[in-house]
Amino acid sequence: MNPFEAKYTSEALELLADLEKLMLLLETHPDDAALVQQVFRNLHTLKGNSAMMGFRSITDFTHHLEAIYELVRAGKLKVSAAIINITLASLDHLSILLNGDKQIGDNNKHIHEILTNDIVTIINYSNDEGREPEPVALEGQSISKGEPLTIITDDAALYKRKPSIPGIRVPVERLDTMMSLVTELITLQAKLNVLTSEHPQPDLVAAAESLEKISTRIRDNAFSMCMVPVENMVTPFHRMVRDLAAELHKEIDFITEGTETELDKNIMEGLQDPLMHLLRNSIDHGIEEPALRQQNGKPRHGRIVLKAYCAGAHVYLEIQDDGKGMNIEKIRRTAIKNGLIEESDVMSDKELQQLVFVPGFSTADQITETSGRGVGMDVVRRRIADIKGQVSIHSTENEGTTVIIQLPITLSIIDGLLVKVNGADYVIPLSAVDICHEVSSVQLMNGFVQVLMIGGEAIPYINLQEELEGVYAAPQSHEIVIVHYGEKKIGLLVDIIAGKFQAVLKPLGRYFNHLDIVSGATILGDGNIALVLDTNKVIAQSLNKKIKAI
Amino acid sequence: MNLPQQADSYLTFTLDAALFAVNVTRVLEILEIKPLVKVPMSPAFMRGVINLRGNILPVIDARIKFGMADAPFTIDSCIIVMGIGAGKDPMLVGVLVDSVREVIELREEDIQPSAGIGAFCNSELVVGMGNTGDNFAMILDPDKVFAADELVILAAAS
Repeated sequence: MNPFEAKYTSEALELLADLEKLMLLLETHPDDAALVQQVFRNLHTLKGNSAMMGFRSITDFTHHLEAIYELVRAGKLKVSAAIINITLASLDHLSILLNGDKQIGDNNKHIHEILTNDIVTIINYSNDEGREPEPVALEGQSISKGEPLTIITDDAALYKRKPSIPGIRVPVERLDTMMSLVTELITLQAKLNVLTSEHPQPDLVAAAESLEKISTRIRDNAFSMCMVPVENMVTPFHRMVRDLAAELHKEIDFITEGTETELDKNIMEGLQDPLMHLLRNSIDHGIEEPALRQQNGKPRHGRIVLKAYCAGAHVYLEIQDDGKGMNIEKIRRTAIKNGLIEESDVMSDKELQQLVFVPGFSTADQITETSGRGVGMDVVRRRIADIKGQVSIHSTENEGTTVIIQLPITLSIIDGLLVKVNGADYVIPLSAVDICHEVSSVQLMNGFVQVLMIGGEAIPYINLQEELEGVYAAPQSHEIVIVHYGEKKIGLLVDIIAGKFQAVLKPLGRYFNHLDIVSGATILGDGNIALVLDTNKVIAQSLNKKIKAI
Repeated sequence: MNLPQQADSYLTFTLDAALFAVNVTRVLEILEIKPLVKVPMSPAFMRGVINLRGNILPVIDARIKFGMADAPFTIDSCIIVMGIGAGKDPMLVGVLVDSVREVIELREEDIQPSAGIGAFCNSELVVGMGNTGDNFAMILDPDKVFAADELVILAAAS
């Protein structure tokens, strides 16, 4: 079964289950217009989905069934026991079809015809004569109470229903509860490890090790449950691209790659809007009109590729278009005009391009319906930063633009480096760390300009003790963690590196909302708290202070 | 027959020489002093965070918050865990106080509108003065005194 069919089947079965519930409700409240409306809508969805997948028999059959409720909705027919019976029988039939090969075969042909007949009879009665609904009901009842129903139950028994359910839907809250319990388990595990190392009894050590293996597996499993393929988010984009392209008279092929890549559902939720915005940008500002494209020797059809892939501890999403790209000179001029840079500033093309993410930057000459209304790239960057992601843009004029979004795989547990600063514990996310050095191995350290030389490379550094605690005392720091800051490398001076630590991120709460250099806290094995640093923010803040001081 | 007068229970605690009270419905538990982890770049009254059974609890030093002189911890010092904000999910905050006294019952007639001047003239924060017989306890409204919004504004200003 291909993935589309599997998805269709599970959705259809859900619709059927829903319908069954509705029918039972309808039995007790036959005059509830809202219920009828909902039944109609579900049937309609089922019909639409089936038609899209090309299952003719299911489509036609559902169409008939839907027609009954169309009449009920229009007030031409009243819900009767007969209608409910036949609907329920039809639902059973549909579910057998869905669990089978979705075709009418020899074994179910008989029921299919009888049910179709019954349904058509009900519809015709009400259509032809506009009779009182009562006789129709009687007629229907007599049919459905007779043979067909018994046959159905027999056949249902003959058919082996698939014993396993391919998947269940779980409310998000339950998943969240499970995740928080798992994170507590991990914390407790760390504590147990500390205790066993203090009292190393062979039995205890063995038990603790087995428990650790199991809890690691539970953790991995629980995380995988919260992972959703990018596909789920991307599917609605196809429609949006198509509609928007048509509206703007552009011809665009929207191609998605690697949509099976999985992401934490919480990250996915935060990604929807920024991605939508980036796509709109590509369609509106990136891809040119077909005529212009031909003039420039490009194919009429523009191409937008949305690519998702995993690399290291990150998931990357790329939106790539082969449109007109960005004009570096124009960016430069706008940035100067808006006071973002000075005329004399020397910046690489790459650096200039990233300026589009700065608030208040927009080069669009005219504001269009689609984009350019102030909610620009700075919002995109902020939203992505909210889910601990980073975004960068690479563009070549007349060749196209690529926006790359880097995301963590999950938000709640991170691998980190446990360090001590002035006696307090901090965690630096391992994803940001490049390399660690001892201070004694540094060739040269200049305290005034705060630059150190390692392996012939000059790297600016920040004394974390000074930055976090405001202590200017002689550094007692012995080790340096070199972290990535955008394209650059920056050294962070710490007292000591205690080791690698799997940090369960806990929010600090609303009191510390204003504090962005700390992204959360984590509880260490001994019950102490370590704060998790957001290195990008720490560095940005330190640089800001320096700039202000000058 | 007259209905009995409505009486509420209040937990009293001391700061410096003053007696304070909060409605017990707002108090979740009372903790001994635990190791506090200072959070960088936070205001002085924010003493740090503690590990409350696996969750992070922010702790406010009521002395500093109320502009009193800082004092070393004593054996009586403790942290009152309070729920701030109404609703299903109140925000928890620990409040560092010098000592916890007792739970008293105060009827409405025992509570007088606050009329003090000085640090506590702000009647927004002090709901009233409760007559405990031999003393007056300043009844605080935790929502107002320890609300996060106000603290954030304070932090931004400092």
